Amino acid sequence: MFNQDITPYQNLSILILVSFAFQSILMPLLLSEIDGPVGWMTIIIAAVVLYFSLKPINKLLLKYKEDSFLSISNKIFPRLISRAIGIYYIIMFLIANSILMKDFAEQIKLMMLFRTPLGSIIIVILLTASYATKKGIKTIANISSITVLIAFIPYIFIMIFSTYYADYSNVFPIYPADVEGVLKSVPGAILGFFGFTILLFSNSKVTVQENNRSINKKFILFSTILYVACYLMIIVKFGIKESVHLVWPFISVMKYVNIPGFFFESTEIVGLCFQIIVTFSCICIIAYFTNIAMQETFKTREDGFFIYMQIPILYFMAAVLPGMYMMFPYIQWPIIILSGLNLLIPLIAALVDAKFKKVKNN
Amino acid sequence: MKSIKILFITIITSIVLTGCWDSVEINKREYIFAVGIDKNAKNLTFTSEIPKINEGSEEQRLVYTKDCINFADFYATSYLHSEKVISDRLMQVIVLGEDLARDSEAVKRIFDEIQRSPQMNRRVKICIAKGKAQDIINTEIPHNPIVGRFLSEMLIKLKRESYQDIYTFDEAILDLGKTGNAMIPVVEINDKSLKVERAGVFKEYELIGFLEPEEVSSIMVLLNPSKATIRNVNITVEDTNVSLGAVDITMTKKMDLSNDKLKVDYYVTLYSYIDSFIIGSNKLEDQSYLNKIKEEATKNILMVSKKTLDKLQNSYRADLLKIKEDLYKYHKQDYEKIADKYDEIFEAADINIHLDMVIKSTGLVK
Amino acid sequence: MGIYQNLTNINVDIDLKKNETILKEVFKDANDIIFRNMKVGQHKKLNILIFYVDGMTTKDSISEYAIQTLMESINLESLKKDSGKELQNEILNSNIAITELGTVQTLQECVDKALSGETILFIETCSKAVWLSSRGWQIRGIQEPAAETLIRGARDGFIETMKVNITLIRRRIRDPKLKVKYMQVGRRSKTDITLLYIEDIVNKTVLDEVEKRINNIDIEAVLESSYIEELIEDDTYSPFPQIENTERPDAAASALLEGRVVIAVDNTPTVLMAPATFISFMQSSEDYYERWMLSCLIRMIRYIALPIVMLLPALYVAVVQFHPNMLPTQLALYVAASRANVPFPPYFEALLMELVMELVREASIRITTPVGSTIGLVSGLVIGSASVEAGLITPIAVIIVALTGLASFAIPSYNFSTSLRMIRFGFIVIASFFGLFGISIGLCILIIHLCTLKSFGVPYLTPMTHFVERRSDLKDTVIRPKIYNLVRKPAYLQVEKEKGK
Repeated sequence: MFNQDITPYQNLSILILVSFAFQSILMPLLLSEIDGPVGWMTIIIAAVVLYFSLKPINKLLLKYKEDSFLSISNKIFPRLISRAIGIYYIIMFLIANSILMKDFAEQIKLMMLFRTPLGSIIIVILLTASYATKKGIKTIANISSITVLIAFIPYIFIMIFSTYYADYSNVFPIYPADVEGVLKSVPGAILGFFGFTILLFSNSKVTVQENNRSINKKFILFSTILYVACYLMIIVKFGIKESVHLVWPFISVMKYVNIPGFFFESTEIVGLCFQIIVTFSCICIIAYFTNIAMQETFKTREDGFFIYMQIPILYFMAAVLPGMYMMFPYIQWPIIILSGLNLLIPLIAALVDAKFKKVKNN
Repeated sequence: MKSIKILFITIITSIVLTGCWDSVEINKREYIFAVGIDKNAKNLTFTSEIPKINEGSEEQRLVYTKDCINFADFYATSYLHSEKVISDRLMQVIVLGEDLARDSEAVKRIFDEIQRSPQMNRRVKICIAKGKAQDIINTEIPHNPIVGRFLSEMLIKLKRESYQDIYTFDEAILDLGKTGNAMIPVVEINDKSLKVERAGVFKEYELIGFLEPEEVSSIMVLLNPSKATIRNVNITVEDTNVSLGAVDITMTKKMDLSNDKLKVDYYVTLYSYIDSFIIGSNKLEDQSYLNKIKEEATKNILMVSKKTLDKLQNSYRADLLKIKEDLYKYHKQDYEKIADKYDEIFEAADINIHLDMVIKSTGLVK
Repeated sequence: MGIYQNLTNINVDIDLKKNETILKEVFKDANDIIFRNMKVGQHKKLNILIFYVDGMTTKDSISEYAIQTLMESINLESLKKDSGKELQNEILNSNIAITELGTVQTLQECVDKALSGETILFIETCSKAVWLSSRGWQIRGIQEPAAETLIRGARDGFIETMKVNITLIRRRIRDPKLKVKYMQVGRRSKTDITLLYIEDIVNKTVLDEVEKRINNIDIEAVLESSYIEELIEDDTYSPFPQIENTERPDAAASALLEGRVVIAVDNTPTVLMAPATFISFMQSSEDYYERWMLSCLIRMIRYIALPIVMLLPALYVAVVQFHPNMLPTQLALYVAASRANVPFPPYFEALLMELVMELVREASIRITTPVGSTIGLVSGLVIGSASVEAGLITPIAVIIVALTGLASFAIPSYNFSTSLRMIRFGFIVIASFFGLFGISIGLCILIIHLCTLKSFGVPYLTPMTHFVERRSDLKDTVIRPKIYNLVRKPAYLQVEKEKGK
């Protein structure tokens, strides 16, 4: 409690939160690429893939207890490759964060502040997030824990009340399933489990590392449940034909929430307020781990000041990048590449490490 | 460190101070409660109803009528014609004029605009005006001067009691997307007030005809038996007028699609009670007389249903029973083969209703 | 000052005259210092000097049990040799019928003892002076604390005398493990401070931290426990209090039993309790005296009051200025109508009324007690209704401000609710810029701040920040479990024990 590390369950909440944010961003992909309401199969396939790849990765991480993935890769790979891996993660985190921020700022602009310039919304979010990032991992872990507590409870209410006038038969037809579509969208679903990448960095910060494996398993489990629940909620509410058109399915669901006798008329604004807190914690988390990645790639002692470098980069990237929904036609390949790399890099590292060990033993 | 903090604070304050882009006070806005859209020679005519904001006294309203191309144009024009900021965020009802509803292009454009708008509530109620929407909006209802509220409350009630299938724009667009057909309530002028009895049949975003109240109710029984309310069945048995009311309806559905031949069977059980008979007669104690009542009533109800089905299959070719959706959900493989020519299949479909009537009670007296 | 500082190096002289001269120099122009030269012993041959502060000593006991016996002792004169060591022992051991006494070496110690109410006895030929416990002054009776009244529960409250306060706590916990550690703070005020804790349940890390911080205090004077609070808290820039305070002995005792450290400061009726968390400020001792179901309800009401205090005026501003569509249609029309003739923008209206509210609150404290509350109420009502009639503000704003004020009194801890009230103004301002988005961002900043905040190493938001690991602590937060289930101590204070397992 008094040290600077995070507890296993705080780690869990970090992983679930980050995954949740990316899952809701990537949800339209899942809805539109598959013919029929069987996207949950994709999610489960993705979860199973991740579940089995956790074992070697956890073994590797547990071996080098104090090190995050990048310093492990420094040890087992030649310098050039480990640098490249570091830079890959930095760029990936930056892109992911700016997409998250952009998408989110646009939701706020459309739903709440129609005439406020996007730039100022982004900068407000960014500055607030960087304030938290500067405070370090402990604060961020606390924030994500609190966020899970205070934001998911309203989400559960939203889920419950959104079923008003919903048609449960919308989950059919299950058979025959669109196998091709299901398989094609697996990379997108894998990318949705963004916590899988974060755990490479966050596991080393946990106090009791022996439990990491079970915690990571729990993360995959809870995240899958959450993802499937959200998916089914959207399907049940809109039916597959309508959900294909939605840009932000989750926000659209909130627009329809019908809480009997609820004081506020536009529930989506209230929902968005909680969404702000969730997304905001995700931005903090990713920004912090970008800092860590930068620190370990450039081998500096401190990580806090990297946030000052990140602010302008993130701001310009968020301002320049088009919104996620504009990119959907073009992101088929990038998603396959990104999710492939995210999955393969740690696996290869684990493999190389295992080989090394054998050679040494012989 | 300190200088960075000062820099941060300066940036934040300067951003914030240039802010308040969206701040418009509540009393500086005008709220459209209802909008009626009609087609004119060139464009559309928007008739909007805005409740007057005045303290305490009785409710008053303003009605604006403008010729515009679409909603956005309408707001832009209204913006220039009023000292207040016009807002559609509290919009209750959209009334589509009959002429407009018959023009599928125009309907598509309007629906798209509502669907796309982040501000407009998708749960805004929707109905079709028999005649011109402008007249509906202009109706002065003595006890509830604000037409938007009147219609909104009316439609909510009808949906809750399952008199109508659809009450919001949201449902209309979902139905039209899923099956291509929808049944949208029709509002008519009734003396000094308004009434919603009938429903308009929409096919591919086009109004193709109307359904009479009893037709609507027999469709509602097949769509939503657990909630549906059957209005009294009035029959004459052996020269005595008998009125029956329904307590409960149960239904099972069987669907069969083979060789491009669709066969749908509805097995409906209607539990009813005697609403009115005649004093002094004890015929109701006679089981055979009750059977006669049943027979007559069944015949009566089936006649209406047959007529309705016939209208749907042959005149409108509109599948308002959502059979298409069920086929897609439960018989996907068979459905995919015939998806393109579904209308013909539906037209030729063999739809049967098997009605079983049970008289549960004869009321408080024998 | 010069002589005063040097006193630490000056030992008590065997010559009484010399001592007297120095002390008289030190206490020049202090007329409440009494010096009394007298001769004692059977033959009245032994010179002694008595020195005390008038008003702080119980003269009766000194004259009755000390001076009188000295005057009548037989063998004093005979022992007057060898730098008076035997004489001194004789006096200490057998001649004075006072339970608490001792010797002091330097004049500085003499001065310190005298100023805390003891009587100093200088004896001819002795190189040490004897102090006799004679503290005694007028004290306030034990009364019910005004700020923390309860329907049910003990009616006694702490008073300004620390020793009495410690007694009040001792009476509740008759455990030898209850430790009472004296300390002194303040270069000039020399204020006594007591650290109370129960040895086997206190968190050692917290205790050491508290002790270290108190020892590090370098200040001229401590006049109230708030001085200590401000000097030892973790983050002075935070609007939130990080140390709890109470005037109720039962609350202090329950804090001790939870494993917390209680800091009592002399001359202050409020004791400090550390560490404090967000949750502990929302608990009232009455929660445990009422039936548990009722307490659950009351606690939940408090947690509803919390966002009302912080956010309600800001929400009003956000809704009226930015998102009127959030209101039900009827209400939106009503609000719009009532705002039609108001000249101020909503944020100004809210700020104005909140300011008036604070004004009334502050004024009613200053007005003499019997009429204070009445005048506060009346002025609030009159100003409210008059300004609505004058068209300065809307009735809704009055309702909102009144609700906020009411809710702020539902928070049991006064200083905590004050912080919330302060934050409220920030929220109004940010809401007037960005509406609900601003409020959410404000909440985010607040959460960040609270997540960073610690009270003596314990995270402020425990157990919410560790809600899985500390789920047993969550039981006593929004609801109040049955006493039977409460036997466990809060886990966040139990680090030492956990390690020991």
